[in-house]
Order: sequence, then C-alpha cells, then structure tokens
Amino acid sequence: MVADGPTSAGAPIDILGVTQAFRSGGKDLPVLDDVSISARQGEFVALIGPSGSGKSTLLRLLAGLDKPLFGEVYVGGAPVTGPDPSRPLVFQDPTLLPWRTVRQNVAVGPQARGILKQSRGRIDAALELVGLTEFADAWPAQLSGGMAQRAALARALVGDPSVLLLDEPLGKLDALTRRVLQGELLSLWRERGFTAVLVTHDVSEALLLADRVVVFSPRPARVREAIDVDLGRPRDQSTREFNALRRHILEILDADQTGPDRDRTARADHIARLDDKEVLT
Amino acid sequence: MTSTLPPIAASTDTGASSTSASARIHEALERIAHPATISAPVITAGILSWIAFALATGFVPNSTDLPLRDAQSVESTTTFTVVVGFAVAAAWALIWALSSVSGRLGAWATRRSANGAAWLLGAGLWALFWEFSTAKADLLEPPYFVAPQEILDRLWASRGVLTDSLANSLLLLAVGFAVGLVAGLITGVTIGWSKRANYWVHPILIFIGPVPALAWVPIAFVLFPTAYTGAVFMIALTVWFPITILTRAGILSVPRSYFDVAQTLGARSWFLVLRVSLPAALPSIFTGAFMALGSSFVSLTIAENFGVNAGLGWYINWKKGWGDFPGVYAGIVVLVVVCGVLLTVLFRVRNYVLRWEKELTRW
Repeated sequence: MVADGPTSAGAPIDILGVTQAFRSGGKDLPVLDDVSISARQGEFVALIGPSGSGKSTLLRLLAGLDKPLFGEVYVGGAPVTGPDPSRPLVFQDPTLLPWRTVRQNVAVGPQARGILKQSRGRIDAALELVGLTEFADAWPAQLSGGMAQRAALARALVGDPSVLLLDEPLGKLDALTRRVLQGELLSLWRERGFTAVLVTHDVSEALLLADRVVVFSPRPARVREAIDVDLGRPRDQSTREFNALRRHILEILDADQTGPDRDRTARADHIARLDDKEVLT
Repeated sequence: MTSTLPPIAASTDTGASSTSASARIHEALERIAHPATISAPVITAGILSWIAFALATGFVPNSTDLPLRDAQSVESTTTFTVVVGFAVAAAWALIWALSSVSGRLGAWATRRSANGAAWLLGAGLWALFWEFSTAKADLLEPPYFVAPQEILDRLWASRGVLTDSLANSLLLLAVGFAVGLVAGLITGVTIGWSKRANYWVHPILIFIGPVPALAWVPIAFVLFPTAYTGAVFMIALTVWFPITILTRAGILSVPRSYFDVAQTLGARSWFLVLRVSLPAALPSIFTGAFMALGSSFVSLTIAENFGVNAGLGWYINWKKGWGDFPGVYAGIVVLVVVCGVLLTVLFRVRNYVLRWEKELTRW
C-alpha cells in the first residue's frame, strides 16, 4: 500500500545478560535479572508475564530510552546507544500530541529529522495504511481509542522501522476494536517485514500474533520459558493445539502467582523487603 | 482494512426520504448549536428604554442648580446625546428585524438579539437613572458626579489629546508587553528545561517578580537612560514575572511520555524544547498572559504618571489636577474600552491557538 514499499526488512535483536534496577523510595529495586533474548530478522516476539515484571523496562532498553546497568542490547548487530526512528515504541496510551492534528502527529518523525518535505507522500501512505485518511485533519481529542491507536501506529510506521516495539498497544481497547486491530497489526507486520516485540498481558493475543512467546517470572524478571508457536497462520483460537499452548503458558504464570514452582530466592527477597517496609512505617 | 472504518461515510444520499431525514437532523442540530430564543418583551422594553432616555434628555428641562460650567457643557451636547439614544434604539430594532432573515446574517442577528436584550434594557434603565440623577434633578453633587452629556462633550472636545494619549499608551504597552513576553518565555523555557538555570534563576524570580511596579518607580527612572526605557522596564517586568512562572510550570508538567515518543521518532533537544515542551505548555502560558495583561495596565498607568508624562494614565491625572471631572471620566471611558478590547483580543487569540483543547465533536 505504501508507494515505495518496505525498504528495510526487520533487524535481528540480541539481548545479552541484561540486568536492570531502579531506586525507588530509597530502596534498590531489581527489575530485570540476567535476561537474554534473541529475535530473528522479521520475527514476531511476544513478551508475557505478571504485571510489574519488567517487560516494559525491556522495551525501553530496546528503544534506547534507558541504558541497562549490566548486559548488552544489540539491534541489527549494533549496540543500542540511544533512541532511533528505526526502533519506534508504541505505548498503551496513544500519546498523540494533542495540539497536532492526526496528520501532523504522523509527521512528527519526519519533521524531527528535517525530512518533512520529502516525506509528504510517505505520511499520506501511512495514514492510508491504517485507514485514517478521512480523519487526517482531526484533532486527537476527537478520535476514538481505536482510531487514536491507529494514528500512533501510523506515526511509528512512517519512518519504515526495522523494529517495532509495542507496549500493550491494545490493552485499553474494547474487545471488538482489539480483535480488529490485532488483525491489522498482523497484516502490517507481514507487509512491512519489521521485527516486532509485543508486550502483552493477554495470552491469547500473544499466541494469535507471535512466532515466539517469552514468558517472564515476577520481578525481578527472568525468562521462564521461550515457547515457539508452531501454528499455521491465520490462527484459529478454537483449535486443540492453540488451547494446549494457552494452557501451558497459563500454568507457568499461575505457578508463579501461587504455586510451589516459584523462584524462591527472588520471592524471599521481595517478601523480606516488604517486611522491612512494614517495620519501618 | 477500509471495512473497519467507523461508518461515518456510509450516510450517502440514496433517495428523497434520506435527504429529508438529513435536513431534519440538520435543523435539530442547528437548534441545539444555537439555542437562541429572543424574548420579545425584554427587547421591546430595551428599545423603549433608550427612546425614553433620548426623549428625557432632549425634552425634560435641566436642573437649574447645575453650576454654570456643567450647565453649558450639558446644554451643548444635548442634541448629540439625544441622537445617540435614538441611534442605540434604532440599531437594536434593526438587529431584531434582521433576526427573521435566513442565512448567516439572520443567525448572527438572532444570537445578538437573544444575548443582548437584557443588557440593552439594563443599560437603558441605567442611562435614564444617570441622566435624571445628574443633569435633570441634580441629586448627585457636581463636580464628582457628571451627566452623560458632559462626558460626551469632553470626549469630543479633547479628541486630539485623547487620541495622542491613546496612541502613546498603546505603543508603550505594546513595547513593554512584547519585551516582557519574550523575556518571560525565554526565562521560563530555560529554567523549566535546565536544572542548573533553575537553581540560579528561580530564587531571583521569586524575590524580584512580586515587587509591585510602584516600588520600582524611584529606581527605574534613575537607572535607565530615559524615562521611556524606564517605563518599558517596569511594564516588561510585570509581564515577565507571570509569564515566566507559568511557562516554567507548564513545561514541568509536560508528560514524560511526550518526550519518550518524540525521542523514539528521532527528535533532538531543540525539537523537544520548541515543538514538544512549548506547545504542551501553551495552556499554562496563556493563563500567565492574562495575568500579565492585567498587571501591565497597572504598571502602564503608574509609569505614565511618574516619568513618561503622556498617555491615558497621565491624561486622567492631568485632568484631575485641573478639577475637570468630566475630563477624568472621559479618560477613564477610553481606558476601560482599551482594556476590554485588549482582553477580548487575547481571549480570541487563545481560543484560536488552543482550539485543539476546545474541539469537542467526537467521532
């Protein structure tokens, strides 16, 4: 649909032994614990895990918005040193700039890089790609949640990214819009060939979209298991294979919530910290 | 993918029935958008009150107790005042008549008539009371209370000086406001953006900013080479302070996610400052501009009286020196109109610039 077609295919991702921590309320808060994940060129990877387990932190590292304490992040063979338009991040909130129309929001990237004039065609093409041509001159405040998220997608795609980072982009949408956008996301990915990393809480969504689902432990996050999704596309949620995988992932997640299979040291640390807090306050 | 678009474009005309349906919908929406209902009794009473004012001014004899100077002034302007009264009545009668016309003119006239009727009546009654209490019955003592005729008389008689004063005031205000605005934006953005700049500038801002303009008078007119630059400094300072405070506050409250998004799309510092921070802070900056405009009028009149010796503020005090209260009121009338017009202009600018905030039609 884009006039000049996908110019750059996806870039491979290598996350090597990344540990990340923050200081919060005077306490050190480990978020990622020696996490290593790789993604092939053009692969669709879903990251799933309990909330607050550091999945979004990982995306911020990939986007170059934060730097890891330890470990290395490579995209396309080069270390990530800062944000780059080839690695845009789509948030759960569309975070459109409210004083810019939809078209002007999609134009943020080209304008920031000083290539606005040459990019007119690409901007129109990106708007068409997500079906917002008619609403190009609307203000973000006028859009529905689904339309706003489409605009955010167009804004990320206009720079023809090699890696698209998706931080629960469909998390706040209603079930119907979500289904529609899952389909659109998939066809965009297939058309443009970028590598996609999707953070989600929704196991079915992960299995519907991803080539591989990486399951995280509770914070500090470790990779519990990376599951190859060997299902044909388009995927059917009602098949036995789909449900078997779904049950398997849910079992891992459930075990972490309550079961005996949890990471005892991490959990013990966590509980110790909570106890400290209670004693102090 | 087009099938997933909301069906807003699906309402294409398919026949006569749907056309009439959409016309009905259009009318209903129009009624909701402009819920103007003209109250015939109120607007009639309003027009009559102004006719009464004109007739009373022209035909009720003036009080014989008026001092000679006031009596002459009232006498000389009576015809003109009568004309003004009839003109107001005629203008509103015309607007009311136009409200039955279709199209944009009719819609405008309807809104005006519906909105203005009560004020028309209120102002007409006030004018009647004013006329009677001063020129006709002399209930309120001259020279402090003056008849409407006298103010009109002075406005006309002093039109040359008043025009000059108006021009001087507007120029001084424009220069001072512009300097203060630019300085305030630069300071606000700088300290909102840089922690080090904030460390040094914020305490100065907190202590220097609130000092009232009057307190600067002895220093401003000594430190600056000319009285005019001193006056510009005083006005600029009172504009600088609220603009800086609210620009800084606006920039500090910009959501971090805006910067994250812009950065991942390739934005560098200058883009983040000028294209993300500043527009995001605009609602707050406009609040500062309203405060600044209000306080700039204060500094303007102070500066005009303490060194510049020109402008409306100076004119009012000069007239007071002569004990010419009609002249004082004439100056105040011009000043009131100027302040009102400038504030309205600022409102219009704000509503246009921040139209993305107000636009509420959702799809």
